[in-house]
Amino acid sequence: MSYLPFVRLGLRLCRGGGATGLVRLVLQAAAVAFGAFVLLATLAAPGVAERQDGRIGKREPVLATSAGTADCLKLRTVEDNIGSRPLRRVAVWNTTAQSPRPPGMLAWPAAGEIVVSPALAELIGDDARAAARFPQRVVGIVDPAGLVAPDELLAYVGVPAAEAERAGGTQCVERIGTKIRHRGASWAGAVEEVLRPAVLVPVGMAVFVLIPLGIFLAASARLSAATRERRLAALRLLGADARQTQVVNAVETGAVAAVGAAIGIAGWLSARGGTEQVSLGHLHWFAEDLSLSPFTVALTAVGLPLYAVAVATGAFARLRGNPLHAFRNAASRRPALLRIAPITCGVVLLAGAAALPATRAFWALLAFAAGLVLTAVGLPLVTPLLVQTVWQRLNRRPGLPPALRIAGRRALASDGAAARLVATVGVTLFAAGIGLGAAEHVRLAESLATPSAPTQLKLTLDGAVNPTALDALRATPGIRGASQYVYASAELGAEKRADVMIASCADVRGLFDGAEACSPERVYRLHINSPDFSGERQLPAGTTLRLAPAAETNCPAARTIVAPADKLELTPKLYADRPYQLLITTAADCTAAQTTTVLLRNEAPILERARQILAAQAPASNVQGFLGTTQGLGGATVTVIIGALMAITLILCLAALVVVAVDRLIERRKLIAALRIVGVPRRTEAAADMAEVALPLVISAAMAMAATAGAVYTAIEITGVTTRRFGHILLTQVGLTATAVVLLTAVVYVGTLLRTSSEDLRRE
Amino acid sequence: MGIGVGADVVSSDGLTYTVGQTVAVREASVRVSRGEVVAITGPSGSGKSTLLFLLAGVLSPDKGSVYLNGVDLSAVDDRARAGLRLRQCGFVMQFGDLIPELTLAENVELPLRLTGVSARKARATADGLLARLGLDGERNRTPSRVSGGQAQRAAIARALVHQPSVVFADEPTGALDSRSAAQSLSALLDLARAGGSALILVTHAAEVAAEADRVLTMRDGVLQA
Repeated sequence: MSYLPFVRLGLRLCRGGGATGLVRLVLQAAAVAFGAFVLLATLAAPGVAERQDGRIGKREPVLATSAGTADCLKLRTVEDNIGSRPLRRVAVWNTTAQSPRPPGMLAWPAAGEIVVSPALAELIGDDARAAARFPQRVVGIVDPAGLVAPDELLAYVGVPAAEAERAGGTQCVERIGTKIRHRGASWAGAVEEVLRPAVLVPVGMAVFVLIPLGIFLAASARLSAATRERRLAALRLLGADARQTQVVNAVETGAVAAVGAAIGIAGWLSARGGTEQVSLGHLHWFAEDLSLSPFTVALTAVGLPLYAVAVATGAFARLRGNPLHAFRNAASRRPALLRIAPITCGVVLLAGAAALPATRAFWALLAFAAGLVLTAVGLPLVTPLLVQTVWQRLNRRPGLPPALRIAGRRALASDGAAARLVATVGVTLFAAGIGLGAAEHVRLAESLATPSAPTQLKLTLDGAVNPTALDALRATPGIRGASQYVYASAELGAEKRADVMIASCADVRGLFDGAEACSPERVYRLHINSPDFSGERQLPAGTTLRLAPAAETNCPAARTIVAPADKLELTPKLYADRPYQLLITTAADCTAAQTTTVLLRNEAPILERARQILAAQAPASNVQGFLGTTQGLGGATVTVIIGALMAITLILCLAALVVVAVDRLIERRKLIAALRIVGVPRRTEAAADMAEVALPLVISAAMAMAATAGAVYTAIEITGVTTRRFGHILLTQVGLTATAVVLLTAVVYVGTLLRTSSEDLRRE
Repeated sequence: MGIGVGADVVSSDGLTYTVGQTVAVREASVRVSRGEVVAITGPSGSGKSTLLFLLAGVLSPDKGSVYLNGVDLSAVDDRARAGLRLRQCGFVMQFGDLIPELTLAENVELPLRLTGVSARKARATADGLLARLGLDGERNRTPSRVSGGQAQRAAIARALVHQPSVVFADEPTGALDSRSAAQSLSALLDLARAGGSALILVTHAAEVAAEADRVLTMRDGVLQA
């Protein structure tokens, strides 16, 4: 027989009839639309990183392996920041019209000129700090093709070749453009091993978005389950076979879901443009970065309705057999024991990950990720099974209060609406626990890797800084010293070397205390008073040293030196980079110095002034040291991402709660009427309703907390980063559970307050 | 070979059906001829409705056979049984069980539409039947917008619109007041007789049973002689 009449009937049923049907239609379509929107946003996220990596790669210089000619194109990139915004400054010299250029650049700037990103151009106009950094003439704007994100602060600064070479040589640029294989995170240590973006993204998407989304869509696909089951049973009785009944069910569910998916996709496509104004920490993107392949969009358009159909088909599976169950309000089948499988596998995997030795970190990581996902999937699946088991045991007790008796019987006979109501709460609690644990982990790992804020800072620059900039630095209040020196490694005989510093006495005094006796053009033996070098051997007087010729070319020095009796005991003003054993003093600054060091107080205005001087007057200088610069996926950004994911989970949870709660209110009217007819007090009725929801909630929350504890313990075992704030995580979960209890019981209580009309009573 | 393969619309031979540890129907043999009205009565829980649904092929017996117009229902699959129900049977349940989203007219024309009858013809037939039952003013209302008696009459119309050879009715007047019950029963009997359909109805009510050509009584799952 043709299925066409059944397809038509399914389509007709989509339209529903009356206000209840309309509410269900709107709820289901809105739920799928929202789900499609969230799904597309989530699927688009990895593409952002990929496209940004692509643009970073296309502008990345590839250096020549050979020395090349003296006038070849050269670049030096300095990662800086203005306020809290990262700034990328690229010094460029030896440019010609034929020099390769990165995308988005029409021409290289000449010395004294800059080409900037639109955001930096705007900032230079608006912000005095930015203007002070870039006194050069702006000769061009970088097109979007050359930018990571629309608000990226990027400057290509043309510098004189001589100035740049003095600030330290670099190799020739062979070409522009390479492929970024992996965009590493900036945090260090164990967390970098475990929470790499490649792992973080899929696991985060699964635990925080896809699983809650799946539950949410499943809840929406099963709206009015009791009514629909009864209706499908009526069809079965009428003479539709199981397959024809499922066709009606599938068409009805699928059509509404398809309309919802289409609305969600349209909403996403139209809202995507507006996301350029949105940011996650330091992460920004172009709207085009969020574009998805037609295949992905088509897959969403087809996949979501198919998923809804699959859920609805499973929900009414018992109609394949005896349709009379639906008419006689027969007890629901006990959930299959197989439901316990995912969470069992998840727990086993987590335990296995914790037990694996550190040498098998990869497998531990894999087991951990799979364990998290399976546990999250397993939580909502196993809840109905446990709830039914508990209710069955409670129902055997003869002295059970009437409210609990009613709740228990209802729970055993119902289609599991109460379990569905709390399913997302359990997953949300687990996701919240994992999110808080991950954020805490990142914070701890970063605090272990980053020293606490020092009172003094030391900026180290490759090469020499021009005298103007050096004078400006030295004249800045708060800058304790700006010194230039040459490091040389001297031969002491067979396979022994000594660390030699060549600098003016003024430079030495800028770096060390105790150099008052220093005289120019002398040689001193040194003893550096630093706990870092306490075990270092000192150079005996009379030792003969030979300086390498390369060292001699920077500042005048003898080729062969005999260590004198004169000795200076020097104490680093901040810290020394080497256990220098010999000092050769010069009459003036070493203009060909290899290193420039700036010591300054760690205060924002002083650091800002130092940055301004260096950027404006020595833009080719490669600054190293703690600048408070945040690039890439820093801990703060990861925390923001985790927060955003948790927010999505929470929104999905609340949306699912609303959808199921409204559905439950509609479906409950008859049950409430039945109780009113026989005169059950409203208080008993409310208590029964609340107990029916509270039990699965408590079971679900307890399992989520236990699962979180297991996951955090496993993470500690794998990474070795011990969080002492586990109590906070559990407390937060308890707080969320309490909120959910209040919210749900309030919703349930409101349901019992619904007026039951005489018509309801009559019909019942 | 079972009994009554000839002119009987429905016949059963030694039907037994067990629910858990309870034998709901034991060794039940029934014959119903074309146009015959048979009432099944008995106390609650005696197995009347179970027997009805066994005869309709909705439930499958543990033992015994059911023949519907000569077709052994135990020898065909669920799909074929469903097809037989759709074409040759009508059902009236205690609460009507019309599809709540569909109007009365759409509910009534449903068996015709599902068997491939054109929309126009199905609508005309359904409208005629509804008018005959005094429901022409309610045809575009959903079941929740009409009275219980009106809904039940629409359910009767749905059961008979495709002129089935047999109508199964489970307490068709059980949920109605006496006036509505009388109207509904009258409609059911009239339509069934007019169309030549056999009618097997389960009832508690003596006045309903009194309208039947034959009354079968069940007690503890056994048909009384």
